[in-house]
Amino acid sequence: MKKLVITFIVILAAIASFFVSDYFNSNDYDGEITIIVVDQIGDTVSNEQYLFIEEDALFDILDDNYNIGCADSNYNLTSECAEISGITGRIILKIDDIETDWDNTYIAIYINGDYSTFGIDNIALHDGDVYRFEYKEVGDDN
Amino acid sequence: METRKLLMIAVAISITFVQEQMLLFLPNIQFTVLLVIVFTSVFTFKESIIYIIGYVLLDNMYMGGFNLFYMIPMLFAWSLIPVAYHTILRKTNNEIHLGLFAIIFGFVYGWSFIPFNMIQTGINNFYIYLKADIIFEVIMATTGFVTVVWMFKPLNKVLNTVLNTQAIVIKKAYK
Repeated sequence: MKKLVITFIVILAAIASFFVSDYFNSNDYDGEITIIVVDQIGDTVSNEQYLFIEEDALFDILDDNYNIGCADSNYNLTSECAEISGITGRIILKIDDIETDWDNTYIAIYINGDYSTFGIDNIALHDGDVYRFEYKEVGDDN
Repeated sequence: METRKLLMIAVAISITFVQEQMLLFLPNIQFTVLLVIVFTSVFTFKESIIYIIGYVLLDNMYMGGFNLFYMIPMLFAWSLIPVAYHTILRKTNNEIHLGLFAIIFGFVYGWSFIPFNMIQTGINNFYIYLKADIIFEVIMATTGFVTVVWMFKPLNKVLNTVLNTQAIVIKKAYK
């Protein structure tokens, strides 16, 4: 009985932590965001504003407006982004002409200038936020 | 070391490795914490360390081509289980105590990779890694606790029976 109660409490605490994390990471009702794309030589190749509503996702806005590629289960570039969505989320390896290989190069995401702690599928949309997608080499200073 | 013990370590490495590969599609949901604790409870400290080195080498050979940025923190983190079991846990078989240890281990395991990831990626903000990995640490801690609390005792009993039975059979065979 003691084991059952403690197990129940631990599982409940874990589930609660997911809900709390999700609550603090939800979209605004609506608004406008800016998406900036920076290539391998540091040039800004795109700087556009997009309107969003609560149901939108950053990935979908990016997918609708850019030619993107994602990592498959072996971290190889694929255009089948929609089909590889999982618990860990998708990884963007390509935006238009900017291509990365994950092992040596990757696309870093900055939210209002801060390095994102979340992947593309877990980033919430907030009115006025600036999302910068920047080509990076592994080992580069951010 | 006895051949019997060497074979036991080899079997333990195989079981740990295979179950991990089978559960790879579920992030951080696996029986590795449970198995390392169970095998540590029947092995000596030296045998446990050999088992962990074997498991980490096999895992890294198969998964990542001996990447030192993963191998070193893995070796360090998994070795904490036998170290803790033979020191602070005082070789306890109390599943609640071991379960609580599994919760702490879930977080410590994730944290042990942070310094190496900082060196590898060049991103030197500790907080970013701490925040990014927290959900996976919660999953690992919860899985570790639940599996240890419910499965440690029966598995430990089976392993002890196997070891003792084999020892009797071997002794009789020599007589």
